[in-house]
Amino acid sequence: MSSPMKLMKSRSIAKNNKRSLKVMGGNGSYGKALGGVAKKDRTHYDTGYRIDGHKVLVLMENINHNKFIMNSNSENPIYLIASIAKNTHRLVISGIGIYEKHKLTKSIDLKFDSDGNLIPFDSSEKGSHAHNWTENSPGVLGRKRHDESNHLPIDDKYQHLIDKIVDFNKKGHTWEKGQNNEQNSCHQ
Amino acid sequence: MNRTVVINNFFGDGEHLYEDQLGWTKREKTEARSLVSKEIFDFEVVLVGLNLAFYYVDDDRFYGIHNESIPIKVKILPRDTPDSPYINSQCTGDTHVDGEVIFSCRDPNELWDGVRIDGKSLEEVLSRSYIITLN
Repeated sequence: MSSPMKLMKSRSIAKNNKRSLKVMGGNGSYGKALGGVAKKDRTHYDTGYRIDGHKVLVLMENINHNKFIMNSNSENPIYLIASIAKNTHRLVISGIGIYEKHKLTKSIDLKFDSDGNLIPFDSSEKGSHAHNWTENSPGVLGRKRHDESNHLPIDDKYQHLIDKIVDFNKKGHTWEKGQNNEQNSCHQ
Repeated sequence: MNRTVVINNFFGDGEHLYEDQLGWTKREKTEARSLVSKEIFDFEVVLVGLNLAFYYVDDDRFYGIHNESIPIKVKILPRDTPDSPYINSQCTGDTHVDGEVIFSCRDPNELWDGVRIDGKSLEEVLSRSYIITLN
């Protein structure tokens, strides 16, 4: 972001985001009448970071831990779920949430080794993996069936995004409550 | 409001763990639409299928219920960074990691009555625990 126009835009965005934006919500939080998730029901902060346009989010209640969003505010987004590493205070993206019609349909858990490299899928759960989600009862999303068949390898179509996430994590971006880094968006 | 400190400097210097932070949070109570511990557990863990990790203040241990695959395992979670001066920073709360398994089952409905920690029920334990992960 080096052109004067982009800098002006960044400053404008930063000025308008003195408080962290609150986005997305927990189970049953999507309101049809509202066409989104009510502010009071939102569970995550938007850090302002983006990877390929996908928002990087952290859990409001405990920024050191990650938790998937059940109901998305947008209709069919992909959200990147991050937490703040307790020791380094760096943003670490470790989850990808994939949504259809405001509902979480698939989650990807990313596992990394001590050097920050992705641990590939394996059947032991130590590797990165995916889960399908479904409506376990009307309006309540949950992991689809508690059985071995819902510990899934990650679809190759997400590999490009995952490579960028690994790169993002290694760069050591930081974030604090009250900070919205739209100007630092990572459109890679 | 007078708050009772349970553990000093739990989160950081001057950032204490207070008694009102133990047990289910307002968010979970709201999601489950209940104030009853078992009903909240049934919603978050049994129905939604989330993993749960918590720090039990009375025995100074982290526990995890790894609920996303069969068999479901209840583990004592290791302290990844035991040298951290702040307890909250000592464990990531990732239920995937290896730990001593103290209970396992195939049906999450067996957890509530089956798990005992220091002879205490999950209801008693959770009321004295700081919930660190629910995902």
